Amino acid sequence: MTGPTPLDETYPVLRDCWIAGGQAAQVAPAAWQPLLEADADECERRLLALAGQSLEVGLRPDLGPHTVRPVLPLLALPGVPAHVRPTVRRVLKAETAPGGGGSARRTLDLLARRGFTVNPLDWFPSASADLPEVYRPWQEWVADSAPTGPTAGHHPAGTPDDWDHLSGPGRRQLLRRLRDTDRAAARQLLDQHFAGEAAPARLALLEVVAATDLDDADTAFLRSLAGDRSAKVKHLALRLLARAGQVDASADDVAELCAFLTVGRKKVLQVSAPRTKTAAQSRRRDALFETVPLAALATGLEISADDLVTAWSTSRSEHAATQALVTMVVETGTTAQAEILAANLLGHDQPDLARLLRPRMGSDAVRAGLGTVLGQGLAEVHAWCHDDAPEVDLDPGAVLDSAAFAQLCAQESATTAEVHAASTLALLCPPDVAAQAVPRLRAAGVSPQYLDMFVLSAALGPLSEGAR
Amino acid sequence: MPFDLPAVEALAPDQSSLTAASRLNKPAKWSGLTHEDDLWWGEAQGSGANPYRTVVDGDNVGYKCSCPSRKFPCKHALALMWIQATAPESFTEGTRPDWVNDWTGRRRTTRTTAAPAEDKSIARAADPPEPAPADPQAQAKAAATAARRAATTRAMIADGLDELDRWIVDQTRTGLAAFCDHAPDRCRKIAARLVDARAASLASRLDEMPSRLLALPTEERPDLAVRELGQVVLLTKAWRADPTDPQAARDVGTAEQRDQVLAHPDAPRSTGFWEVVGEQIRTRRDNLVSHATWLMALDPQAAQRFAVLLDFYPATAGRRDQVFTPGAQIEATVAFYPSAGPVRAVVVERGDPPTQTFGWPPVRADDAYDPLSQCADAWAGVPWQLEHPLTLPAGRVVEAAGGRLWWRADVGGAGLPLSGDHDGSGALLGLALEQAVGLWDGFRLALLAAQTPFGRVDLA
Repeated sequence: MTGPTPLDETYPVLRDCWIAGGQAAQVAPAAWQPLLEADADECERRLLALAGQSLEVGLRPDLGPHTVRPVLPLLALPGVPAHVRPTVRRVLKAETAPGGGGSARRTLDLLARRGFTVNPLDWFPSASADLPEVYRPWQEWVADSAPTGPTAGHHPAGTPDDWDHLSGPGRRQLLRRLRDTDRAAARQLLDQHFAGEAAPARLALLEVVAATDLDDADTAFLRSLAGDRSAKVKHLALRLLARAGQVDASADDVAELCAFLTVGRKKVLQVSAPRTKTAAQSRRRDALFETVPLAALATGLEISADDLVTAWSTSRSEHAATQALVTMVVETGTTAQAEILAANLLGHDQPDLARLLRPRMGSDAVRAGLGTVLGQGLAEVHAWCHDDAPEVDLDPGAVLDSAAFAQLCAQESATTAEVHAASTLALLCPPDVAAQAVPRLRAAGVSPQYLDMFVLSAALGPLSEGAR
Repeated sequence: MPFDLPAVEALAPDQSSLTAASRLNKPAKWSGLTHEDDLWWGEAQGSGANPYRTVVDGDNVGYKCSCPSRKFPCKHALALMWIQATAPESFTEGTRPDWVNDWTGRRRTTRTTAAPAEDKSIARAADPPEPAPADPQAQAKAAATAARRAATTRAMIADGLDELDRWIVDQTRTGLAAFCDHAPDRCRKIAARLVDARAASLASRLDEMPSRLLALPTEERPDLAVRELGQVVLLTKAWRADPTDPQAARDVGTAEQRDQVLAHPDAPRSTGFWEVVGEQIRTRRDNLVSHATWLMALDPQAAQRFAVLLDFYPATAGRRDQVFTPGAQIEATVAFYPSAGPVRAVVVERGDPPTQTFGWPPVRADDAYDPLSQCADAWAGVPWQLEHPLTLPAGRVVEAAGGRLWWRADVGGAGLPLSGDHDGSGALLGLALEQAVGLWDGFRLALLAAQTPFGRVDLA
């Protein structure tokens, strides 16, 4: 505390006397003595009252040296309307509840799809989180504050020239955007910067490439990674080359894998992986699934790859083998083959495995898959969508008359997992469908926690235009 | 299915509930009377600082009220059903708010069975209570008894304050360093003595002192001890000078009842638009929950800028429904408890929600601006006041030595250290605070809310 008055000198003397214990009247300034004409105890009380009041009225806190952070930038999209913020907070709390395994991502995606962002006091990102691109300025701001932040004082616009000033998520967002809009610029970016990144960053950038369709021009880049220092990067590059049809599988491996499979040709074609006699055989079979491309396996079985995924029998195959086939198709199959296998799996109540194929599927096939799982149940919908629930143009009846919605209406408890599943269903709904679902759920008397994502979705629909 | 009077009569737990409900059976006693289909709700001003929220379901008969009554249904629920039965036009049609949704979502949809209608009747509810026979002798005796009781209480309090005086000097004589180390035990003992002496408010203040002490770093605790003990000395002197002074009597003994505040000729009233700028919910050492709701007058010319509504309830009762939502703007008349620096208040009447959103009143700021100058009236009138509400001009939250957070004015650079409740790991350090509202306790500023480029944000 500092100030221009003599209190600066008087008060510490009195306080130090009291801290140690004693009578402060003996050290009080002469100017105060007329106020202290009383017995010793009363003098101490008067001094305490004077000192306490002086401390409050006469002295001011001294800020001293301090750091002022740059102002948090505004985002390209407006914040949600004030009346929606309590619902956003409740939804985010439920989505990120401990033990639920969820994240804020799908709520942020919903807001961004509807043209809004979250208020920074309701949720704030870390520098490394994988988020919708609209939040990049905030992530750069967070990176600025890190002790090792490379971008202090610079606010990058997110162009290739800003590479050195971008955080990890910002670089991935830039590459993702260029892969969608300007493949040549994306390749140039990789040629310039990929080799200089650390192994985890290289792997993350390559995963961005893997999430998009590959073309012939990618082959040279992927081949250049055959000698990468990171085994993970090298392995992923090889899988991508395999997907592009650029890897020749070992004939012995193909033959050995074919020997694990059975092809039935009576009436209908049926391919299966019967139970092996030993665990070692099972491990060997799964290892071969990892190295043999789908096309090569199909050739070895003397059927087409499309027929292979269509005719795969989940009921006659070991679950691990089906899982290995799914991984094989994700990494080396075409989009059409991924969609055929997903439909096959969904038809046989395997939404968990089918979901793994979703990154490789087109939007029409994803929507068709939704139609199937909505008729199966809430858990199946959640398994199919999980943390990546796409909003699709569903008819109200497709949701409100579905088995999944009927299950939700009948829910009595509200565990974290059940609330997540309900939220998954809500995220699939366009705003008008969500708005119709809300009164039905209320009438059914379900827990308010189940309603929040539906309420949020409805609130951010066309009705909220005026609030923007 | 709407209610009718026989149904209300049947549902009432007893005749006294019906009689009490009849006094609330007027739409003017309620605010926000609304219905959606067969769900009817509204807010009734009760004896607490905040109105009670009541909802009844006419379709699947059920009711819920935030009042503490043990009767079920309570008089508020009965009155709401009664108004619905006799004056349904008093309800506007609307969408159910969150607190109604919360109840409908949790309740079981089972039929409520009515108690037998014997010994209770709507007709008798309106009967005036049996007038007590006038007996001048009895009245004089009662007045004398009350005066004797008041004198006894004052004498007990005076004795208690004498003991407190000695206790305060003991603390300085034996050293404030030791006091800071043993404050919980020492304060608990003197608080117990003050409870015995019927100085309940002062006892509670001393009982809570250690928590305020321990919230500060060690090096600042002696300063807080000096300030708080000095304030207690000032309070005891004010009470001795005039035991009938409302503020001193309230802060030493007990606070007035709501009806006493409303009837007090010196209780200032203020009508206008207010914003709920924040609330503080604290569980005290005596296991009571203190629920403070801070209102800010939105009229730039308002004589009283802030009002605080205080409610107390047992911690075992669990968290109560929120009546006022931070950020909400309301039209209301509030009555302040009589004081030289009025802050504590009760809501007399609450209007319909305003149809427009009001901006915050502007705050003057220049190079010489001192945010604590707003405390001058309180320092002069109620120098023992623990917290002072402040409006703050444009500023930022900055990081000072040791990682401590401060609020700093953009113009003039005045700074106030923030309480430990604020976290600098999020967006707070990046927010441009165009205006802010906070509570200054002499050592730390607790920010309640602020206007920012991202809109109004709650910081409490």
